Amino acid sequence: MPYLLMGFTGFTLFYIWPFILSAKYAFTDKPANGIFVGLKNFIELFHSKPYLLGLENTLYFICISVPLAMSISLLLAMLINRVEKYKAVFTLIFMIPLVMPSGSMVFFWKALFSKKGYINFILSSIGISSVNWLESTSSIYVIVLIFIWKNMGYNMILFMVGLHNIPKMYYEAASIDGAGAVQSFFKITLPELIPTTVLVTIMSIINSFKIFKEVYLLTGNYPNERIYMLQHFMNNMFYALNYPKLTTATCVLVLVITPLVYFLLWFERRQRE
Amino acid sequence: MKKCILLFFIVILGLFTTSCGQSNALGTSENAPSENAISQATSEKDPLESLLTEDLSGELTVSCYDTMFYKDTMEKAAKAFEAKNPGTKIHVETFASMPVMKTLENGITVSTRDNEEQERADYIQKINTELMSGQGADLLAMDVLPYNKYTDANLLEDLQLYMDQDKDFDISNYRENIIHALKYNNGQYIMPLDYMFDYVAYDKSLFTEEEQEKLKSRGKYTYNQLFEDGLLPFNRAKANTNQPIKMFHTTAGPQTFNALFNMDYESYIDIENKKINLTDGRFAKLLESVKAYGDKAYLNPDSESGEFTLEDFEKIRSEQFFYKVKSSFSLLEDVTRKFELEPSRSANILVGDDTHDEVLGLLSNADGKVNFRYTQAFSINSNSKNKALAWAFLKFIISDANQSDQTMFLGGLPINNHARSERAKLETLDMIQKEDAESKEKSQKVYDYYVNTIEAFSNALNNAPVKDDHIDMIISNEIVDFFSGNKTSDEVANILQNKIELYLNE
Repeated sequence: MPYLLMGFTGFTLFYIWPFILSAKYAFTDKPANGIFVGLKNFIELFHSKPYLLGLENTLYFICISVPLAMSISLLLAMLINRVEKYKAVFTLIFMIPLVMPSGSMVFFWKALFSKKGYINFILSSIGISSVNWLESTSSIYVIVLIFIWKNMGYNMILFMVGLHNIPKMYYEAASIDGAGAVQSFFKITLPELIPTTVLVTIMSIINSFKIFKEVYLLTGNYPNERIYMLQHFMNNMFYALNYPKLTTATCVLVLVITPLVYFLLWFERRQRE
Repeated sequence: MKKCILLFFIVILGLFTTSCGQSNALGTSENAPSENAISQATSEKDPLESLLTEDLSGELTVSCYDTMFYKDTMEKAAKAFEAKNPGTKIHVETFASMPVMKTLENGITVSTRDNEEQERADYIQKINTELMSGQGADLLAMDVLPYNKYTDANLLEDLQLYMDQDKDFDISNYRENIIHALKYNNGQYIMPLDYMFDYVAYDKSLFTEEEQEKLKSRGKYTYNQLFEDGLLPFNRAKANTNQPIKMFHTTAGPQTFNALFNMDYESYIDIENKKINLTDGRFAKLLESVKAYGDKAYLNPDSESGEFTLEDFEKIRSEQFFYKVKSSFSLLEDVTRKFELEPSRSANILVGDDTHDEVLGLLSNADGKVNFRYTQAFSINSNSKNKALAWAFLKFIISDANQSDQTMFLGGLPINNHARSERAKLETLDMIQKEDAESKEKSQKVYDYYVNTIEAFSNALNNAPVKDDHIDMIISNEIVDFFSGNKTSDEVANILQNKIELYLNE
């Protein structure tokens, strides 16, 4: 309990309390000497084209990248689990993206995906016209790739722990009963991995918001419309001194994420029971 | 759980009802003031009137960015104000580090500042944070700060109210057209201390008498007209010499593009009304035109590295150009030369050989708008606890006594009318340092001509487009791709339209 208290105090002091203090701006008309306007900012927010664009792009990105990243991580975890020799080496290789600084990697991504980058060089050498990867609607796929590359190691480790916790006798019993690999996967692996899957889903959704760092470093405050995320909107509101809009967007995000996480944890608890 | 949800919805309903009530009270239009707002403003006048008649006392903080420009000038003004108004105390805060003087290989000394961009961004961030938390200096220098954003966030005082209510303030003592041209959202939120403009000079040795007469027949000049009028002499010069003489000293790239774009800035980007118009073909045509000027050799090609090197600098200094766009800072020098006197100093280090230069007129756009800019302007923080003192000090800074003092640094022409002519006298004497009778007689002519030209040009100034550093940065980053051949003009126009629209509508 004392150990929890310390962490909880720090969390309250540096996250909860500042959030509560700043949330008042969501109900005022201006940052300084503002008057109370109720839900006016929330109503205006949902009429704001940039916000709706950011929301649409963020949801689209999460719906594509999270399932894709989870599937690839699970596949990798299952493959590495089967490897007997050099398991640690393979695990380490996939963990490297996690520890590489975003700032350094941006140089690499730019070299790959800029209009005169290596990818377009390869494409044009095989007769395909070059693509403006970072400044067209194709930019979303670049961001999905970056997200998967950066997070698959982390998800893979979580899945490997989950796989390790599945008793081997379940598979043995299933194989005795004549179950094939696919059946074992859907009837044993997936159900047993539900707690891990819920955790990975939550962490992936959270990490999907962190992709803003790479997008910002690659394309700036105002990227192509396709990759203009909610975080761009909020970051730009901060610089534009529009604290009411910024905190309103933050409150909406908290109001959406909290029940979602609650639902996932409830689902996991139900499955466990 | 159900009780929590029910309670939550009751709170939401309450907040929703409150917000509708507030909307009805304040009116639905953002731009047109409602009756309540007007009556609120009217009632604000009464406390303002009483504020302005109170005895001055207390402390005031003045915040400025550029230490080199402001520190000594403001501190001197502060001391003089404090001496005149006992019981007051003015604190002057500056932010930027002092520049370092460096001597280049060719012997020219330049001042540089490391990390200037970062310092500037840090200062803006500092002021933003202070203003957002309801604090900040009483008086803010607006040369690097985005006054339009502060105005939109209701962080600055409308000085029109002060100007109207203060019986000791007579606007006819100042350049009214300059002050009024800086109105934003129907209010006066900044007071300029000075102003500058650009004018065109032409090299009379490159034009025949007839061509010069035709050239001088217009009052204002657009870039297109200048290119058209210069075509004949350009072709003639091209035929007669191996070293083609260029129309302007700017290069056929971002430099010239920016000059042309800024003439019509508001027709492309209207920040006040959040409208942007880059895809109707004019923007793309502008990009293509600038490129064409380079292809036709009207202008020097852009540097391949995109940077202005020492070599470029040396080349430009000795080159002849048909036209030169100079700032008002150079006007006295050209006028001095007109009366066959040698100026004692030259500001023209970047516009080539100006031995034969003659003042032509002001640059305007096709709609007759003539741009100007200010180097120093101040605003009063609406959070200030001593607005009366802030206004009094602001009036003092733009007073005749303060602005006439030549030791007080001003980046441009003083906004105070009498101070402008007083400074012109001192500058003319400084420019023509000879003491003989002939020079003295000529210096009087120089002064008269200079002052008349300044005032004639100043009367025509009518536009200071509200610009946004961020938008300018977005544009300058994108147009590089056009001039380097990576993107077409239409692609650049579409990308910019989307990005800037997003930025303005956030």
